[in-house]
Amino acid sequence: MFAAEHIEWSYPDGYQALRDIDLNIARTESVGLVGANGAGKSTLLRLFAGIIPVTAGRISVDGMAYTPANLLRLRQKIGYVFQNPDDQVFMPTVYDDVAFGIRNFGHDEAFVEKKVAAILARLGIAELRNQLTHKLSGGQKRSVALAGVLVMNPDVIFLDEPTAFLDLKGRRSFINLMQAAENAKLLATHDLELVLELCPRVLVMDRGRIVADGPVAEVFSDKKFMESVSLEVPPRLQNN
Amino acid sequence: MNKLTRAALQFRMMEELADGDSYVHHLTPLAKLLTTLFFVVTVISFDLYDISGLWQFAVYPLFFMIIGDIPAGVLGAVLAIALPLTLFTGLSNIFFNQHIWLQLGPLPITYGMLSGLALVLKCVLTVSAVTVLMATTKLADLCNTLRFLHVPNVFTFQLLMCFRYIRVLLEEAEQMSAAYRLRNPLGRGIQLRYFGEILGQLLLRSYARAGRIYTAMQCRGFQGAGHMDHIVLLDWRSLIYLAAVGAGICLGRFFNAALLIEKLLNQ
Repeated sequence: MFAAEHIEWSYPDGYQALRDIDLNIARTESVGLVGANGAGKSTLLRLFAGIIPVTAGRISVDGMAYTPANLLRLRQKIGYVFQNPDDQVFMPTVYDDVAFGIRNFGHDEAFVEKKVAAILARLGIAELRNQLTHKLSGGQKRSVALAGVLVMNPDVIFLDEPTAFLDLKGRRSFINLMQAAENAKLLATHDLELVLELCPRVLVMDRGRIVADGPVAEVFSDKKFMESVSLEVPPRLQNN
Repeated sequence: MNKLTRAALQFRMMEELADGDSYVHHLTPLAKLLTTLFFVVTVISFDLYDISGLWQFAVYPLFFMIIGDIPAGVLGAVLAIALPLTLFTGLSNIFFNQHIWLQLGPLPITYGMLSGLALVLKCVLTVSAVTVLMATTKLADLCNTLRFLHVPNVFTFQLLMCFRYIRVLLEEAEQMSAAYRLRNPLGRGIQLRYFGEILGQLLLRSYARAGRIYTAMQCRGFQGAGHMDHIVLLDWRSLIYLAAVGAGICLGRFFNAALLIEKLLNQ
């Protein structure tokens, strides 16, 4: 469903952030993306989200390649949850923010109302509907940011540090929500326990390359490998 | 509460007010825009020295502020920004035009005073009308309506983005100000030697954050303009409002209530 082939990307100053990236994500598959700071996770996600243009290689969703001409249609198929919800939640009220995306695709107000009500109920934040966004807590903003992306029902969602700003209860709600969501997901995170719970498959990045791609327990249990990429075996697997 | 926090709160208050639930809020943006434009043009059309005809136009913003639940403080805050320049211009009229219109005992009333007062009145009335519009209409809806009226997208886009950027700028300024105060508890305000650096940082940070927000908007399909397909231009309620207010403004332009009352009293 989602495919990236021979992706390379460099910053304007010449620093090569991504090297020879190849990956596929199947429909409904949840994949974790981990790596030390500076490994290229966020850059990769931004490329997949269409925020930075593809300069080498090919990315496609359901066979539709990432080109400027396809960008609007692609935006309906891909969702991106920013690391900082303050960058994503910008409308005055929760309702307007969640409705923003679907309104941009020309749906009538009755449809928008129905969709927004459904997603707010699904995320358990229906009571925030008329709340002003600048009065929300960090966790609430995170939930609203997620709602704004999920309401568009994208085929694939890219999430950058999705559990940042969440307390334990919020984190658990997020995990339950992601487990129930049928969209394909790629989660970039430092939270290895989250990946263990949510993702059967994990990609490990190091210095712009994907250096491991496999079942999460198998990859995370390899202590030597994890240390070589500046990670640690998660506590849950340390006694295995 | 420091000035920045107050400014940020006032700014957010306009957004909050625009999301209200009064009769005025439910009128279509087009109806409110047309009446505001008509009101502004009518007020400006008054003669340079005509004050008596202007007072009655205060009814329009006062009435809609009351039924729109718009606090007087909001208007006060907006006028505090708009009035100083007008007051300065009005005062300069007094200085440059000293021909006497009326001698009230020892006090001469000059044409300069009349024109200065007329200028201030016009400013208060027009700014009040626009404040009522902004406090009862969401900016995105207003911009979509302007686009429908064939205002070039570049203008409506700039308006929308400026509005968003001001909000971002205020939030970043608040954060930086708080961070500065926490490490400078005994000082009053930002020291002059740091002002340039802090201002530069503020511009860089707000620019970067505005860029990220714009990216987030693009990720959700924003392409510089909202969809106009489902705009409701005029419903029956807005048509009645348009007719009534339009008639009222016309009446006010051609019939001077103050002079009519004077005539009636003299009779």
